Amino acid sequence: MGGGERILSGLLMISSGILVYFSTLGLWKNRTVSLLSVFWFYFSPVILTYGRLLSPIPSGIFLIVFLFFSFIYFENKLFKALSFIIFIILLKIIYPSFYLFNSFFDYKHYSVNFFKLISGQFLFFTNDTFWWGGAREYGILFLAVLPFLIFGLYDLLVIKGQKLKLPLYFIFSILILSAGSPHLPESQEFLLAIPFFAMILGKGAHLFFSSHFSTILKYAIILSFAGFFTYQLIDFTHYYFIHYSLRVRNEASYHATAF
Amino acid sequence: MRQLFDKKKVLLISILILAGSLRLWNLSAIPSSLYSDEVAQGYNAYSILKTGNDEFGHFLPVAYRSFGDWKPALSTYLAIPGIILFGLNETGIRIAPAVLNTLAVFVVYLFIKELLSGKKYRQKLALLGSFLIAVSPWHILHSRALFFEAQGLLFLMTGVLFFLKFLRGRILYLYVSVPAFVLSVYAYHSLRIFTPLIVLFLVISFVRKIYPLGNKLILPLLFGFILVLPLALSFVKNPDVILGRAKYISIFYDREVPLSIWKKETEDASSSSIILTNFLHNKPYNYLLEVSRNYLSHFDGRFLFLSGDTKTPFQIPGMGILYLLDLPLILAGVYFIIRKKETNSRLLIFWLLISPIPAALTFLVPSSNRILNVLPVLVIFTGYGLIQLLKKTKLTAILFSFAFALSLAYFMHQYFIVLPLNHSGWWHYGTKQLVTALNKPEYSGKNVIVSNSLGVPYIFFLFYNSYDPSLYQKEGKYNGTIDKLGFVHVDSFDRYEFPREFNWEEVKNNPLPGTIYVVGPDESKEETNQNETIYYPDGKIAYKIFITPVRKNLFK
Repeated sequence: MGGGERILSGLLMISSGILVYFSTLGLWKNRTVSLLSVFWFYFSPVILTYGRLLSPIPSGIFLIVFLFFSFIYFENKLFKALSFIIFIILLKIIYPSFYLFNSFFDYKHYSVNFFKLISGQFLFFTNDTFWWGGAREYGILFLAVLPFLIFGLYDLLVIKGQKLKLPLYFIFSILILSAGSPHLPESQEFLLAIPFFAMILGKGAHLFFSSHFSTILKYAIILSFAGFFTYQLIDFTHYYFIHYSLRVRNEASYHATAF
Repeated sequence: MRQLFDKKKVLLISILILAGSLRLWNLSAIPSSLYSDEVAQGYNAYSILKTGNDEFGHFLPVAYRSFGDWKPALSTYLAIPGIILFGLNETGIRIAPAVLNTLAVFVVYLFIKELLSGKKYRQKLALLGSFLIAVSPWHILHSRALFFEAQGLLFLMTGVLFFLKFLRGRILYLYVSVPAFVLSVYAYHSLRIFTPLIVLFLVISFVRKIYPLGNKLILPLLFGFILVLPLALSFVKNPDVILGRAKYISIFYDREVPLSIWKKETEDASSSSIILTNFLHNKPYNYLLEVSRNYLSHFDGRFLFLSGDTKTPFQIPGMGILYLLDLPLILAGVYFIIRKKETNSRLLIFWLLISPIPAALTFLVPSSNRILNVLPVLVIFTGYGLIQLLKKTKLTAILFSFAFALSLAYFMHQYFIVLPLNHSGWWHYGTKQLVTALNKPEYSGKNVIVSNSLGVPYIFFLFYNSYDPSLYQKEGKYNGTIDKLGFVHVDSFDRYEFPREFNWEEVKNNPLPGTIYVVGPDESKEETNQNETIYYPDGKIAYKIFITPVRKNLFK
């Protein structure tokens, strides 16, 4: 059977989703937020794509979510430090191409990379971190989640308590490190931030659903975005199984003949 | 108290002097030359002054055809006094925007004061806001050239300022606000979308205050209606007056979206049902994505803080349209304004969010000129963020002041030294020198053929020769065919010819005798036997002038 080796990636992504659920539950003590976070996690274009590929990304995502999980559930500082060290060692073993292990920051392009990684173009339209094999016609998130991202960011900014903002700090740390990669745009380190984006989206969607404005308006907006999201998901699935495979095949043959 | 008042007055005057200096100093030489749009506006202003008609012979137009881009006419009319005072030259046509945009700094001051009326810090923020716009690279760039956007913004801000004043009980202010809003619509394309949206928002937000005024509103509204009538009538007569530019730069004109749909439909042919193909690969969805992508591109940090607008002439080498230092201040400003639910914060957020909409509907993105109207809001956020951060410690204030001084020094170096020296080509440097060279006695009477690689050269010859507009309106020959970007083509006037198809490789082997040829350096790389060369300030070649003898073929 072809693709047997890819099962591990799928399993790692499913396990990461479970960890996302329990991490957010431990962090914000709200089952709805946790369920929404897992939903956004499983239906992210990155997770859908990399969950079906043999790549260091699923392992990296699993590890970083596990680190986050340990930060939430283990109060002991020594244990937290130990988790971090283990995380680095394991990341080195399963994700040796992570640029931090190979070269030093390229400061020359740092600011360009920094802004690229948080640009609308990259987040919602063009994920060019894996040019040949990635689904580059889509961003790392669906456009339909943009309002929830804004709500989520706002919610985390105004929330009191540093620990409750932890997903934001994780994204920021990954951003700071990823932007230094000399391999950008062909650099996938920032994809490790996806679980934390999912958590923020969960928080944002929950804030939106529980907001106080007119019920009819609220449901009209929710229905519109639910419809838009479903449409984008169908579009992505169709793209993935029809156009993406065609493109990869065509480009692979071009690659073989041209060089 | 008296002393404090004077101190603030002195500060405001100092800011206005700084703003004036940055906008008026050496206006004729920086930017190094007149850009084609400036020249077109200048010549049309001159033409209207002399004949009452634009270059195409239309009487007092509200928008004129120009290169085919249907320029809004307000800034052209505003340039006329400068031309009367200083003549048809750089200073003459740039003086109006420079003076008006210095005035804009004062309007920003009043605007912020009015917007935050009742707040303790409004005076401080108004001063800070006026200072920030006075030193804004984005605003300075648009103030030192005869463009449309900044003047449109001035009228828009005036409209909102007096509308807010009117809300405080004096209907007389509406007689200033309404014409200012209408003038902004006459000033720039994107404000024809933006201004109505802002007005609609203001009316909806303050309907409780406006509604009881009832009949008192009729007269100012009628006044506004009369003012907008010329534009409306011109539109009815010729829709291009409003849609002429829009239709060639809109995403619906661009072929990219239909082509990508066609590609996917073709790929689907053997594997998907027609229903699914039509459901997924359709224009509404793809255009929605395209508009969203364009919209978000205007919030891209690379565009705002690093590289700026990469389209000439709206670029300042080595920097963005905002200072990098503005980034943390804007973020802090947005955060605090929302969190503290400041007065009129909804208006500011709405203003910020709708600003990129006109630009998002075009395919030339990100576009610094089409979203210039967002600048006052960004200035308020920056100022507000700064006030909040300065509350922390004195050290923060010192650090920010130092960083700001460094940023301003860097901008001044890039704009006043690097731009004219190394990037003068962006501003069509050499055209004036070319026209002057061709006016030498030894070239008189000879026909001049100018290569089409030089963009729209005819307008430079009209402008720098101060060519009689009434004569040009009679003898100018146009090519009726419009190119893919909607541009019309002027074929010739007087002794000048501008062939639409020009291949120097062919022409040089069989040139017309006794003719002057003007070509760009890229199309005549091999030739070194030109009769005259026009250079850029950095020593690179801008134009080559070849003169063929009356009978002998020079190039063989």
